[in-house]
Amino acid sequence: MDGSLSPEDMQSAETFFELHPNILDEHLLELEEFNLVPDETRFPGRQNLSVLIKPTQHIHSLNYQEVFVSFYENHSRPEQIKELNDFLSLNPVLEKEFKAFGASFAKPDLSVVYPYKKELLKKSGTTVPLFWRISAAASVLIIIGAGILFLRSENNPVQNGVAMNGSGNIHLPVINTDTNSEEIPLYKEPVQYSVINQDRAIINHTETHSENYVHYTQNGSREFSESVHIQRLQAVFVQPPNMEITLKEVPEFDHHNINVIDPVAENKPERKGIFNKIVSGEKIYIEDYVNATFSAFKDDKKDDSKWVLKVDRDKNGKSKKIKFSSPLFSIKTNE
Amino acid sequence: MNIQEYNTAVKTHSDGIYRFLLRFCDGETAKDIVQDSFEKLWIKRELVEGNKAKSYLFTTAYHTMVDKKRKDKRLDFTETLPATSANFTLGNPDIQEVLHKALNTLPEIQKTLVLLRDYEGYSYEEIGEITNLNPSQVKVYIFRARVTLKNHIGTLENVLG
Repeated sequence: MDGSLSPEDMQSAETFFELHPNILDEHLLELEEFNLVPDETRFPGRQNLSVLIKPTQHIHSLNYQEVFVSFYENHSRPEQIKELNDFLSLNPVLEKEFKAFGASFAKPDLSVVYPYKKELLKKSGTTVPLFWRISAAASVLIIIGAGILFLRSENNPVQNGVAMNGSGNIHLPVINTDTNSEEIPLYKEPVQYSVINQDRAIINHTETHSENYVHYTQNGSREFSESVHIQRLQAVFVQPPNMEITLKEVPEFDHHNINVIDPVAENKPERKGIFNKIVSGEKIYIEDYVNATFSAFKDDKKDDSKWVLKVDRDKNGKSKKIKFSSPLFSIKTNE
Repeated sequence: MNIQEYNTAVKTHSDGIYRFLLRFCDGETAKDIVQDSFEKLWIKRELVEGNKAKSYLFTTAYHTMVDKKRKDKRLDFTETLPATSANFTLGNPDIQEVLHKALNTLPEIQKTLVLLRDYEGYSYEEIGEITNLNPSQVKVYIFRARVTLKNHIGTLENVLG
């Protein structure tokens, strides 16, 4: 009666009932009573179970969430906000979901701060390249060992740790034992120094050329030279520190020429000749290369002021800070 | 960018970058990435304008963080946010606490975008520049993230009644 028999079984059943018609007549009515009639009963609160979203002109069931997010992301125009309010008025059941979107914005915990700001800050007016700090082989400036001889002529041979002048008089450095620093007076007399240990520096100060030359040759890859027409200082730093070079006010001098030459940067033309005609009194900063020639032009005046070179050393005797000053310019390394 | 602008960038943005990174890595790693980002900014300071420092820093920090994670071959940490927890039964839950736990269930890119949006207020375009996505992609990812976070919050409220 359910129609669930296969054709073969149906054929067999029909054959059986033809042979035994009384069985079908006796039980058919009983079996028919068990047929269920589909129930037409309706659940009265059915419409309350499903959320029928009533659309507005542009907001409907498929895009209302995007509209919610757009609102909270401040991407909604005034007319869109108005329509959103109308939509929510029509669909109060979505109010909770709307508010839940509003709560989905993370707020930072402002009590969490970066604890190492001071290490990041750079000192005003100075620049400190990273390599200077981490380089174990950084050399700074001239150091004089136990005795220094002042040398008069530029051809005077370098004496180990001694400065000699042309007449053979020895000028010893003034060593401040409290700060472990050395102060080397550089007079107009030619001076030549050399430094033992890890720093090797040569200062040539010749009367004829008025040249002071400081040379660091740990690997000789870089050169700093500073020259003044009357007095010239050349310094070579292997691992050049960051230096602040201040050209002092020298009204009687017309101008300063600063030419930057970096033998290492032969293929980097941008490093050459950057500083030109710096105005007297202007500060310049040389950060990662220090090959510069400073020239102050004055036709016939000699500068016989004292030049002072000061070096601070650490406990291991390695120079860590230098300071050089003259009436025309000063050089110091920065921490 | 001069030194003053750089130092201003340090004071203004180091906290925000640090907080952002802490959502992805431990304190030590976050500190290293912050330091590395500012070092790169210092090296490139002549090429970066002062008003662009923030986006440069966040871009650098984000990519450094991603590279570091790939290098460390770490898996994104995901957890299933329980519908209830012991904390919530004690009274009104801290929605932000729930939210930040839910953030960890997001895919890393969605989490990144949400944090850049919510913590730093970047626009979709700016976020796209930082993460190498176009604004449309940013919009889609943020929408998906908001839905996920909303569902977490909604589940919590339903359970608590």
